[in-house]
Amino acid sequence: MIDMSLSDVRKIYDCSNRVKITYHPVEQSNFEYFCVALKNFKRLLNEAAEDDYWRDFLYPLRRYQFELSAAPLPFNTTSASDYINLANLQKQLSCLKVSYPDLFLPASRLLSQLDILSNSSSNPLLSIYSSIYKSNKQRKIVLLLKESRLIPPVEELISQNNLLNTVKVIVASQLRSLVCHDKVILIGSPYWFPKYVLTAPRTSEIDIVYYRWIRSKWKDEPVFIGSVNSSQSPIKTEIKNTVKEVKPKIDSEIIAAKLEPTDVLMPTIDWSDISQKISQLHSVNSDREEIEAKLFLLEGNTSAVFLDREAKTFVIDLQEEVNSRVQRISVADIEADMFILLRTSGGGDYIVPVANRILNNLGKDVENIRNLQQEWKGRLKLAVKRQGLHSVSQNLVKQGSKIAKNELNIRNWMSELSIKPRKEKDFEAILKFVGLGDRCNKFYEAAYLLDTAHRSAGKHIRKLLLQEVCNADLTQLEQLGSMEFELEKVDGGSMTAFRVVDIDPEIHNVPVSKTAQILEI
Amino acid sequence: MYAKNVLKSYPEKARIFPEAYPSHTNLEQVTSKRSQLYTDEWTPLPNWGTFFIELGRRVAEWETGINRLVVALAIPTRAYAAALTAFGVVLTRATLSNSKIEDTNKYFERLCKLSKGTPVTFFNKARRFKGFYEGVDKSRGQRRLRIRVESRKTGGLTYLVPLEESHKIKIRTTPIRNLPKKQNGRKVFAHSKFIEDILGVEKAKNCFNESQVDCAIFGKINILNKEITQTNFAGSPSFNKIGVLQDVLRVRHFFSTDNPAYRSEVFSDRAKKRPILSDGTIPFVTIFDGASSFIKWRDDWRSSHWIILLDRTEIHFQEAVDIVNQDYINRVDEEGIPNLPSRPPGVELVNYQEAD
Repeated sequence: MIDMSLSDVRKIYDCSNRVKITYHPVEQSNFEYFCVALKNFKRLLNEAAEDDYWRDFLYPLRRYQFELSAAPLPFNTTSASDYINLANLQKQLSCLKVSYPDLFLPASRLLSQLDILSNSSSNPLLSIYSSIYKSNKQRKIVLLLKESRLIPPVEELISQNNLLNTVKVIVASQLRSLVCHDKVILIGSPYWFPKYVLTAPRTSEIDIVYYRWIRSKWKDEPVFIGSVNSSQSPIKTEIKNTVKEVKPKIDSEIIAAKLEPTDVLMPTIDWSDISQKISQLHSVNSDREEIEAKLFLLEGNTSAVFLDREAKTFVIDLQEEVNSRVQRISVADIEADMFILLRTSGGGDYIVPVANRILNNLGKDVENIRNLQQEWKGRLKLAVKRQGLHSVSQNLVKQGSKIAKNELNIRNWMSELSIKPRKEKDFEAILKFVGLGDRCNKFYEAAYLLDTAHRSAGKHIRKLLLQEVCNADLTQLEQLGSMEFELEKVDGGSMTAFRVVDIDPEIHNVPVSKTAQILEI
Repeated sequence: MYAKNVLKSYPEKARIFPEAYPSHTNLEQVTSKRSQLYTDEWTPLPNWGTFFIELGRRVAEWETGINRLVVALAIPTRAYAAALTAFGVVLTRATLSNSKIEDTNKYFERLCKLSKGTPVTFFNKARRFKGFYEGVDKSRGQRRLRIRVESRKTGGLTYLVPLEESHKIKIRTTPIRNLPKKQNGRKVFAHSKFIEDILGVEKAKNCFNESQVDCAIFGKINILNKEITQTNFAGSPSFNKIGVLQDVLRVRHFFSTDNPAYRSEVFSDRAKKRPILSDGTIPFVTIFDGASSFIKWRDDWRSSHWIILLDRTEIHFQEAVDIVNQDYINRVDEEGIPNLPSRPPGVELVNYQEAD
């Protein structure tokens, strides 16, 4: 989006005008047998496939199927050892013999096929990809993968090949910029990718390398139901013949089946499962302050974070210009594909230690200021615990705070994340109510100093982050979905930007201490 | 103000495009000629750019009667689409409003019939004065319009304006409480050679004397600023009369000097408050530059014509498309703009009328 010139835009419209899709179907009978057998096994299980037991059994098999279909990796790839434990699977299989005798035979066939594959160094996707690359050596070619997490093992593999090590491996979101390429080689079914990869192409040549049994023929359809008839010609397509290999004797019925793109994709995010897992990670303590938070799934699908829905947080928006990329926005405004900046060393919110340092530099007694803050908040929380929110609300209104009628405001005032009520008369009402009315000025001063220090800290951190972000090569962030930024001038560590993969539509009540913390799921 | 009222306010400005050209005219040729800009000495702005300018022009020329027009586009990139479309809108609106000066006699007679004390704006020596119309002066055997620009307490300076200069007087839509004791007038924007090249010298002189919002854009302000104020264009291949889109668009937000006449406005897609134009009107055309802008602000200014530009690569593209499709089902009339110019590759378009 940045540094756009008219010539960049012209190239994009040229790409749309000239785009040609070339299909490269790939055959590999053992893998085909495995994929189709897995589909049939799921069909046998029917609804039971979603039960915890079967989900755990199927997860490594599904992941293996997806990763080997979505990246040019050898069947014996070492990265599979992260999630496949054949010994464990065999153990489960032996249990099946007793508990599900009818499923034993198909399950054992599936595992033996996996065993055969995991001992094979064959890499048919890479072979096709190499042959395309060899005939286009002088050109700017990029390899497009579905998932960021598949990039490191693929890069490692191609770095070992002198011919291929100049190739850039990217994910789809990198094709949203104005940069155009000579050729994009897409691995897998085009239906796994956002439509814009094909409908707003950043290249005039798209080569799709895919396993023959996964439906992958792209059909361009209008997005508007009332579209004015198009006069332009449809996208040009071509199918290349691929090397045929000798097929072993496999049940012809199985081979005839075709897999839908969604059959191969990993299951969609199950938010209730994630929040259940997370709630198991921390025991609920009724004394802890709880706030309403939004749950964000981070890049890699293995970690998540809760953020106070009323708070603000730092984000990097790559769609913005360089000077506006680091922003502090409301948690409610965070969207998928933005990058949240979280403190990954030192823990918790970054603002507090920086604000403390600012107060120290001003010669203020930080401990006393924070104690005063704790004192009125503590008394308010205690009153709510004893009398209930409704009663406290009525009492505060009697003391002159009109907005205390809204109980949400009292929750905010109790929260550690808010410093003070915006208006002095509301603050005065609280202090009077909790029995601190005789020392109002002391509390006002402490809250004012804290507020100013927190604001300065926010600006300071944003400035440092902006410097880091401006000086950094953000390719890694776009490509891998996360990147660490060291803030040398600030004590206490670094911040890491994570791509937001998805956002839970539900609101959760979580302890304050669990917000802004990365949680493994 | 409703769209139909906007149209009523400027009845002479509205016209149907096909009437502007005889039926035998090749519309594609007309389009490429009247909306053609150059990006350097040798290079004409390609078809995709001309398309957006022409789209803006056609919408600005559209007369819907009681309904308003909605044009939604799915495009490969948002870059320059909103800026060029808005350029087409303002260019056409400015030209249409200028058409009234062609009939000077008629205009002079209309001014003669005004009630004494009608507030007016008077343009004189590249300055703009507020004043009151004070009737017709018939001394020296010639009818001249009396325009008072200063308070009576200090002598009540009055200009006598002859028929041939009557276009220097504009009737104000906003009232004037008092006239100042002394009035030097506000500096009027000096039009660029770029505008002259596009509109011709005579029209360029009178186009942008008054402020009115022909077009509002919701989008990313810093990016629009770059496209509108920092990219050079020319109206002819010689490229010796260079300008920027801002010369025509006259986006209020992008002016650094105080209070020049403006013709369009931009609003951030992340704004917190509901956008309101300073004069309380609604723009003739609203352009949504991107899905986020459309999703957030579509409930505002439902009375103006809409041009919705949806970048296919945006995160909320499909959500915005779904809204457009839903609105399309509830349209009042399928007929949109006829004879649209050929769409560039990768661009999909739907246009329909919606009840005001």
